[in-house]
Amino acid sequence: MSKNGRMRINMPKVVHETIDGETVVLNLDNGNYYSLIGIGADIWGYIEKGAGVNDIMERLYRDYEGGREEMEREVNTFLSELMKENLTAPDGDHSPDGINSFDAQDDNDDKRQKASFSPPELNKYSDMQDLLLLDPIHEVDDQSGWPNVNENKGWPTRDPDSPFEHE
Amino acid sequence: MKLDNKTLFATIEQELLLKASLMDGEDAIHAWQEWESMVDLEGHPDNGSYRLFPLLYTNLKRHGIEHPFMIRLRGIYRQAWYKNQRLFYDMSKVLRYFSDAGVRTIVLKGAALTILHYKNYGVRPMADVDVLVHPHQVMLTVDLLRRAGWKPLSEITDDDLYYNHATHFYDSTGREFDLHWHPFWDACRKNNDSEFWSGAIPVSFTGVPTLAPNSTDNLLHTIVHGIKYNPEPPIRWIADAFVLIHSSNEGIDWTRLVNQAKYNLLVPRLREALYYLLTTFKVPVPQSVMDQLNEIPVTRAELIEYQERTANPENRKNSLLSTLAQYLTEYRRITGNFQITATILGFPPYLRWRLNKKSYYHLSSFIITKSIDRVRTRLYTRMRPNGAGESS
Repeated sequence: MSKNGRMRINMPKVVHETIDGETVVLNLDNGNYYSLIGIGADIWGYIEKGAGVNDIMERLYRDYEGGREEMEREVNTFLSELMKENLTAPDGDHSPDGINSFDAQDDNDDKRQKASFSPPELNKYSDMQDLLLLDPIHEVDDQSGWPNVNENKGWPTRDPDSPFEHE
Repeated sequence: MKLDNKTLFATIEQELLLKASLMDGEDAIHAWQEWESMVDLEGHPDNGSYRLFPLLYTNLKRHGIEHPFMIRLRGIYRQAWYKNQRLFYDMSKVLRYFSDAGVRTIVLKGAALTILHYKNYGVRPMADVDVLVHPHQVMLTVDLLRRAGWKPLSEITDDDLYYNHATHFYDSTGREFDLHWHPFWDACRKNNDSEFWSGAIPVSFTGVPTLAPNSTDNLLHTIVHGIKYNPEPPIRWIADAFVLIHSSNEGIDWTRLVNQAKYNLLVPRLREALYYLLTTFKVPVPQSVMDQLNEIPVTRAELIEYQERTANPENRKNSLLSTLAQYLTEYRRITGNFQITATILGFPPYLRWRLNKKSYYHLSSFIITKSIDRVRTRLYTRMRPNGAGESS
């Protein structure tokens, strides 16, 4: 993708929702589930608003402390990963209108303190058949909840009478 | 679990959970605090309560509640969102298939409520999608489903089409689908659904155009399907009715609601349900509607049927007469046969279908055997010494 390239979310095959700062993404074709937090969720939001790659980088330079080269490398890796997973697709070069509407939303944020940059991550969950059988109260990680397994407890034996088996 | 006297409705804990999930401000916050102090959050919730957890999560979040249990609730919400998104996507292919073949559809229950009222894929867990088609298109629809790899739970007979309202389909991947040809099991009369169809609203089901019931018909549908005995109180209808009434764009046409209930002999259920919603959850039901419902005469047979349908089976009278009265009311409601001659002629075939008997010979044998058994049991109970034979 060119530096001025734009991406679009691969709708309607890809659906997403932001819950409490975390963006969850689902590829309906294959059932894979993804979680984006922090910078990854921010970038997803920028793509949704029609930002091009340059727009995204400019925004990140403005909001995060870090070496430009490293930031560009990590973000490009992340964007490639989104495309590889068919979550996004190229959408041509960005138009000036796109930049303006995207930039205009945060004109008042210029003076905010910069946070330190950490590479965006795409957390992928592909073993959904198993994860859907998890009891989301007793078998999940205490700090993050379903679909993160509580590794200390391991994968338990299924109880056919459990309410989690019948929806 | 401690049950309220009315096992038909919610338990004390479930009422608090419903309030915490549905209501605003202090009502929601107090209910959450009380519920959270009463139940074991690390325990195993009943099915009805568990299904409300995604809704609880969104309402607590809206009220800024912070609690360690919110992490689990958020996970349950994510899971419900994931499952529903996939269910809608899969079922949209089926609906597209129907549409391409010229089959008109109305989505019912959870699908309609999710699209029109909850407007969120994560808050109402669903196992399947319920779709209504015109009775004359049922066999075409069944054929389409078979060709797409779906199987009915049992073969659909002509009697099923006449007396029943729906059947269940499944496919090799475990997906489920409910095909309806009448919206109400309780009112399968011919040409009875024309108002339900003409009042339906166009909606988009994951990009596929279909219809959904208007708010008034949906409310009656929700209540009628919710008000029945279940070992665990089926509380989801309460949340559905609450959200439906509060989110309805066009408002509830109370006159239509009452008239539909009266026409379909569903007054006792509607009256009880609305009274419960009004008094327990402050749902804005006009007093004039309650007055109207109270004034509508209800036959003894209707009342018996209501009691039979809503009572705990262990407490039911179970006498032959009460069972026959229940089936007779069902029959009259389903067929619209209120004339004595029509009833005398039509009731035996219904009874044979209802009791799943192959012939009238089998039906008569069954009734005679049951009657003898009951007389014998009564005689035995009267003759034995007090307490003898009771299990220790």
